[in-house]
Amino acid sequence: MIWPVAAANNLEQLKRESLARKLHDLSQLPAWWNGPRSNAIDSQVLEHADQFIQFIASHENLGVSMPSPEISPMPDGGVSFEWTGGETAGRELVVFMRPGNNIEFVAANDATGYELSGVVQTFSELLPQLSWLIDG
Amino acid sequence: MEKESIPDDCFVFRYIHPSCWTADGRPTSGVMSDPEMSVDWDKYSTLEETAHRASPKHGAATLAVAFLRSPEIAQRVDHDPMTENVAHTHVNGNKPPSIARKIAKHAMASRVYRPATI
Repeated sequence: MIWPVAAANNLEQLKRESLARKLHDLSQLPAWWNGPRSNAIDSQVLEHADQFIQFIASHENLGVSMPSPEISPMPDGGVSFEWTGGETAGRELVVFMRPGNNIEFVAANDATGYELSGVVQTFSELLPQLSWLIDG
Repeated sequence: MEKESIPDDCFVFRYIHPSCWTADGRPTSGVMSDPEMSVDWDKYSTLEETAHRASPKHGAATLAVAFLRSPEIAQRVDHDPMTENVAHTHVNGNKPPSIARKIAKHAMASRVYRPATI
């Protein structure tokens, strides 16, 4: 009974390391990485994004079963997190972290027509969307 | 250089950095989030030319002007030629995640170009 738990913890650790590497890669992007209107990634956004990964991992109900998001740079120096639905039965979640620490999101399922979008100030306010992503 | 009116039945091309593709092969929503997004008008550029104009590692995605101007997406598509790129165009408008995601999914359904080295 111990082995599956250890395997899950190791998998979780690997996922977190992979996401941390991705954030490190984004921190190395120079200005103009995607043309003249693309800024280097904001250092506070990077810190915020790292905290978001830790926030997800720290929640027992999310950490192990949460698929890895696509993390990508945004032209304004922000970072986007994107769960595209392959592992979540068509449920998708996109989170934008822009400079200034506002968190914008959309949760959507194209098959059902469901869509909810908004702006939040804290990670906790995203818990309903993160839980919905896993459990529907 | 004279600005022209871009008809609804045209296409524009958005160049895509190598870090901005999802595992299922579409551009990320994040790369479509710029409120003043630079693209190239297909009257003066090809998909591949747009990608190569950015760098040899960049790809590019196709967006239909009529889609961008549709009430659901509500963007302005304005030709803004530059000396070095007569195709240069702006897709102007607010792009929260709900809009950027739809633009990215639209791009996936259209023609995209990714260099073989990615």
